[in-house]
Parts: sequence; C-alpha cells; structure tokens
Amino acid sequence: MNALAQIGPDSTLISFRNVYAAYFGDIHVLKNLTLSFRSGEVTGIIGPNGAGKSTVLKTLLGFLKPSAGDIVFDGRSLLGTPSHDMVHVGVGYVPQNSSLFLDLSVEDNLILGCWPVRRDGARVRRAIDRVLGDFPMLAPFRHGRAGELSGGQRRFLEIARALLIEPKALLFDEPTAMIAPKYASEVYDHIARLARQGIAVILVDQNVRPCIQVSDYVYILELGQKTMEGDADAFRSDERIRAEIGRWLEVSGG
Amino acid sequence: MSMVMQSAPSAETAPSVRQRAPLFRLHRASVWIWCLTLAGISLIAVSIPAVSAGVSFWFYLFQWIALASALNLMAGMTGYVPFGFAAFFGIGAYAAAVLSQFHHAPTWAALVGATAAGALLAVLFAPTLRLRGVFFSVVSLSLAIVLRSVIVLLPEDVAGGSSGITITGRHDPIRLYYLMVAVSMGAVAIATAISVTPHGLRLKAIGDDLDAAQIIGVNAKGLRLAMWMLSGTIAAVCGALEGLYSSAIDPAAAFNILISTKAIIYAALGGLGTVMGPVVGAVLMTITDELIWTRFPIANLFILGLIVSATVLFFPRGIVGSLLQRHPRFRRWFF
Amino acid sequence: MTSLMTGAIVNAIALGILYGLLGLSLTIVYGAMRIANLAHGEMVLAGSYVAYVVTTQLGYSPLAAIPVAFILLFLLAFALFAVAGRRLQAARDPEMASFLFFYGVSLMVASGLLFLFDADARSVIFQFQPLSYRVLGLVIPKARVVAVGVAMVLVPALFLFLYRTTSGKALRAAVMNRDALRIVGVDVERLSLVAFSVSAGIAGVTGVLLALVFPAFTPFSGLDYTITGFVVIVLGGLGSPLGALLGGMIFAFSEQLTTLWIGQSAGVLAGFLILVLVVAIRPAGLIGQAEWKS
Repeated sequence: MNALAQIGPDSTLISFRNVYAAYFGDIHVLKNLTLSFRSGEVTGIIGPNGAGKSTVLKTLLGFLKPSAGDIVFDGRSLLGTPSHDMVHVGVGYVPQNSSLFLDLSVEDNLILGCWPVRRDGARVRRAIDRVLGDFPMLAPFRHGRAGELSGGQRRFLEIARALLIEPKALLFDEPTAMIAPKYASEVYDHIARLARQGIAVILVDQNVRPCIQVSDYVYILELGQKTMEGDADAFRSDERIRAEIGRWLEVSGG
Repeated sequence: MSMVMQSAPSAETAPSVRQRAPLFRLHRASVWIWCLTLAGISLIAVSIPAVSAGVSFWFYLFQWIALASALNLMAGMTGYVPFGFAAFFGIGAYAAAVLSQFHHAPTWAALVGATAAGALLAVLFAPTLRLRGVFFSVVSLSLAIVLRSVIVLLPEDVAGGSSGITITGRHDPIRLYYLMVAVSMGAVAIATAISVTPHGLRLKAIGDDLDAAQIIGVNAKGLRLAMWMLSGTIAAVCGALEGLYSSAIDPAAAFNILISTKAIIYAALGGLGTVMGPVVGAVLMTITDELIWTRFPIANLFILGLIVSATVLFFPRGIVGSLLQRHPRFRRWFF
Repeated sequence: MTSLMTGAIVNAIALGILYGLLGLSLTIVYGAMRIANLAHGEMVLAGSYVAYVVTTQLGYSPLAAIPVAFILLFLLAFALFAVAGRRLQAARDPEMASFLFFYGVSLMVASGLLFLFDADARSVIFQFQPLSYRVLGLVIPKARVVAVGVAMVLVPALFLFLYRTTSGKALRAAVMNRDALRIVGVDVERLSLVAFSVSAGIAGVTGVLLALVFPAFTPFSGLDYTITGFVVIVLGGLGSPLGALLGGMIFAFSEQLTTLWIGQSAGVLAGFLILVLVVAIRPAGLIGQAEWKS
C-alpha cells in the first residue's frame, strides 16, 4: 500500500526521448520514438510483426545503442550503461527465449540472479527465501534441475529470479509465447500484481487482448514508430481502435 | 481521461526490418577475365621448366593452391573445418608409393589408385559429417591419427612400416609438376564453377545458415557430401604427386597435421568462401615461407604464427573477404 | 603378468588424472567462451619448460615450479586475452576465429621455446628423497607420486570452485546460456578474461606435473597435448567438468591397457578409436548436454 501511495501523476520512471536505433547502417528500426513508463503501472507495447517492439526493450537494456535521442531512468541517462549493469541499476528483464541455466538447480539459478550482491551471503539467502515464498510452486523443486520444470514453472522461475534484487522496472518480452495456455493467465495475474507493488512493468506482447487487459497504458508501434497511445480503458472500449488493431492483426496474420 | 492520441503515420514506408544485402550479380566479363587470368597462370606455369633450373618451388606453390582451394570447397562453402584433411593427403601419398614401389605401377596407375583411395576414404569418413563444429574437427583429426597408426602397424612389405617407403622407380619430376599445375587449376576451376552457377550459390547458403538452406530447398546433406568427396579426392591426388615427386614418404610427414593447418591458414588468410582467396593466400604464404625459411629458420614459424593471428584479428574474413566487405562494389569483379 | 597389469593400472590412474586436469582447464575455456584454444598444449609445454628451468637449471624442487608456472602463464594469458579477446568474440564465427588465432599463438610459443631451449629433448632432473617407493611389488618413482598427489589436490579444488562458488556456477552457466548471464548482471567479458587466465595458469601447472611423469619433451610436444586435451573433452562432452575427468580416465586406461596387451603404437590408436566410437554412438560425448552448434 505504501508503494501505491507514491504513485502520482509524476511517477514516470523511464522515458525514451526521440530515440532512433538501427541494427546496421541507416536502416532504422526505431524512429523518433518518445515513450514513458510509470512506476506502479503496466505499460503494454503492441503492434504487428517487425514493428520494433522487442527492439524497444533491447535498446533500453543497452544491447543496441541508440543512434540518436536519450533514454532516461530515474532522472539520469542510461546511455553508456553496459547491459550487465542494468540489474544493478534496477532494470530486470524476462526475455522471450529461456534465460535459465537448465542444467543448474533451481536454487543455483536464483543464486546467480543475486550476482550483483553475491558478496553478501545473508542477503542472498534472504532474497531467495523471500521469492520462494512468493512463488510457492517453485519451492518443492528448489534442489532439482531447472530443466526438469514445466514451461510455466520455468517462466515463473525467471520472474522470481528477476525479483531477487528488487528491480524498479521489469521488462517482459512475450512472456506467454512459449508456455501452455493454462499458465498464461497466471503469468498475466502475476504481472498485474508486480505493478501493484510499485514496479514499472513494460510488457511487449503479440497477444493483443490479454496485453490490453492487464495494461494500464498502451503504445502501438508500427514500423518503428508510435502510431497510437493511451489509457488501456480506451483501447478496451473504443470500437475504432479495435478495428484498427483488427486490421494489422490481419496484416501480420496474428 | 481515456483519450487515445494517434500520431500520424509518416509518409515514408520504407521497410525498417533487417534485410539481407542483395546478391551482387557477377559481371559475365569478370568471369571471363578470371578465366583468362587462370589460363595465363597456366601458360606461365607450363613454361617454367624451360626457363628455370628447378621446379621445386613452383611444384609446392601449385600444391598449396590446390590444397587450399580443395579445403575451401569444404570449409569455405559449408563451414565444416576438417582438421584431419591431412588424412587424404597421406592416403594418396601412400597409395601412390605402395603401388609404385611394391607393385611397380607406372605413374598414371599410381595416380588412379591414389584417386580411388582418396574417394574411398571420403566415403568411409562421410558419417563424421553428422557432427558439427569442434566435434567434427576433432573427430576428423582423430581419424587422421588412427589412419597413420594403422599404416605404421601394417607389415613392412605392405606399407613400409614406421620408416616409410623410398620410391626407387622413375617418375619424371617435370611431368609430375605439370600434373600438379593441372590439379590446382582444376581445383580452382571447380570452385569458380560453384561460385558462378545458381546451384553453387545455393550451396554457399549452407555455410551461412543451415535452416535457411533447408527453407530454400537445398539438399544440405547431399551437397556437403559432394564437397567432402571433391576436396578429399583432390587432396589425395596432391599427396600422390608429392609422394612420387619427393620419392620418399613416411607416416609422420605424409599425415603431418601441418598439411591440414597450412591449408586452412592459407585459405582463411585469403578469404574462406571466396574463389580467389585461397589462391591469393597460398601464393602469398608460399612466397613468404620461402623467403623467411631460407634466412631465419626459427623465425619462420614465429612469423607464420604472427601472420595467422594478426589476420584473424584484423582481417577476420581474409584478404579478399575483407576487401569485398569494405568495398561491396568489387563483388562484381572479385569473388 | 599380474604385476605388469597392476603397473599399467597404476600408470593409467596417474595419467588419467593428469589428462583430466588437462581437459578441465581446456573445457572451462571452450565451454564458457566458445574459444577453442589450440595453443593450450603450448601453454602446458611452457609449464614443463618452467619446471625444467627451476629444477634442472636452477636446482630447486619441482614443487617450487608450480607457483612460478601458474603466475607466469596467468599473466601471459591475461595480456593475450586483453588484446585479442574482444575481437575474437565479436567475430562472425568466434569458434573458427579463435581456432585459427590460437593456432598462430601456438606456432609463436613453439618457436619461442625453440629459440630459448633448442630442439633437443629436455627433461626434469631432480633427485627426490627417496627416489622411489615400493608398493605391491611395484617400483613407483616419487616424482610420479608427487605429480599425482598435486593433481589429487588440484582437481577437487577446481571442482569445489566450479560447483560451490558463485563465480564457478557462473562459469558453468555460461556453457548453458551465455546471453542469460548478461541478463542476471554478469560482466561476461571480465569473467572470460579471468577464466581464460586461470585456465592458462592451470595449464602451466599441468605442464609441471606432466614433466614429472613423462620422460622428455621438445618445443614441438605442445600439439600432442592439445590433441589429447581436445580428445578428452570431446569424449566426455564439451563444457562438462565431470566429463573432462571421465574422458581423461578413459583415454589413459585405453592407452595404457592397449600398450600392455598389443604394443606402443596400438596404445595411441586405442584412445582415438574409442573417441570415434563414443561420438558415433553419443554425438554429444559421454556427459554432453546437447549437440553442439557450430
């Protein structure tokens, strides 16, 4: 409840300011993108294939250097921060493809999740006990290999691992793409809960309906540009927008 | 406050997704120029014995052009680096030597036997093509060592044992030299044919991306096997010619891993996957080798090593490959 | 006959643990960094020459050569990787690039050793007190006991590091999912630099130990060590520390027993034949996780 109280109109944690990015040469994947992400909210990013949704996350994480513009986190620029320092800064990331170490135990995966604070053994143990408490489905497998978990459990392990050192922002790239449908709603519920805890959640998703359902604010990207944005309520109700989404869903065959 | 802002999509609709660079069409003229260059080289090569006292340097120059080009057929086109390449060279040398010395075969019969032995060995080792990366390299190297040990273990009157075979029969060195020129030009011609025909271009795709190859309908396995057979057989013929030319072979020299590694290095220095690269690399390195070797025997290895390491760091695609990467317009002329 | 058999088994255990050590340092680097260190054998050999200088030339105990070899090779590898590491890992095909790069390095090291020590075979000459032990009717040189003793301390220490410390876990994790390491906040480049240097240091120590077991070495022995190392780790499964130890044992046993039963040249053959057989049946090696992508 404490976290909720802090959320006012000025709770912007991360902002993209006129960001351009390119994989090589001058073929820009992001074009003049201005976005903002607030603490305590789920911000959804949707759009057809190749719109640059995942690229937004990769640029934010420093895997891709913007060719122009700035990315500001908590009042200071993130440009030049190496991607392995992002955890330390407070940005967690759950990528689309598995980011687990499948032949290590569940506990070892969590231990590695505490890498930035690895010298503080007591803190590592506390953090691991805390997340295993939050994710009771993982506790029985604590000493088993991560590879033996089901698809859904693996995703939760990744989320748990990202929460170990209490990130201020958590980035999800297609969190339900690789898992069984019965787990998908659980994952979305959890994402909503994270926002209520005060975390700025960024959700890139191919599945438009659940994404809008769980989001507070939504951006639509097309060909690396922002084409629409607004409160998720509007996206849920506005017929015109639903038609628009239907159009590019057809285009992308999604 | 449930307003939705809609920013106007810009007029420019250039696709912003990653695109593959389009394949540059080779000029027909450039293929002709290359063929003429090869013909010119052959002409010079053929006239060497008339003007030069010894052909030894030239013999080995063309041997390395042949070996580097043959290795490139496999490594450059498919991404498989056979560290056991020396096995083919060795089996060719042994087949020729055994036929010549123990069965008194004439030169042509010894060479036919060596070719057959090389092709047979390629078939025998073909199952290793299921492996990938370092697995493939190490297993192929192990097979070369196994083969060498087997030859050492065979009775002396079958394969000469550990001391090798001295060939006492006459094999005209000048004729062997001409044959080596022919083999090397043949190897380069095959590489050229692969690079300028649509079929060959599809083959190259395997080296880049196995999945992509599957999608565009290349029979990856069949083509890989074909390249393996070709490069192995060419190496066996080279080994046979070298064995007859030097008239003495032994297991350590015939199966020397330096044969594999030098072929890899020369091809990589010039540019794996290009037709001209292995030729450029072999010529440059054979000359460098010759110049340094005669003057600084110890420094020779050091400089060879330095060149290799520096090339990998600063020209990772080799001389020809880096040139093409930096100046794509040359793709019409160099390939 | 039985005592010959016992002797062969004792030899195999001694060599097996040293081969395992050889493979262990190689597999850390290959697994974690996709760097195929073709100069690994030359690093081992450099360690042997350190032992030669410290014992035969200066007259100290081989044990004194161990820290010297570790520090020297650690520093050399650190410098080498600081210069080349980033470029190699940025290459289009890091495995291939590192293969060639380190082949160049191996040639440079071998010719450097040739320049310093000539082509003649060298050996470590040191009079241990006593010179040998008699156990079960076997005469076992003390040099061999010392070498195996050190390896018996070093191998468990390495396993403790790899399986019990966070950094060791990160190294093993790199084999499984390198990209994910960056996500959890590991500076992969620094980890690689340290791992490569430590691996070279261990290679140097292995060289000291091998010099105590093998009678002689020349500047060109490096390639044999490299090949043995790669065979051992491919046999066991690339990137698996346990596999390296298992591979070392299997290779040593096949070599020693075949030498005993058939002869010296068959001994070499057996190890490689077993490798080919194992890979034919299990393409990922004995404890390999998955087929390695090229």
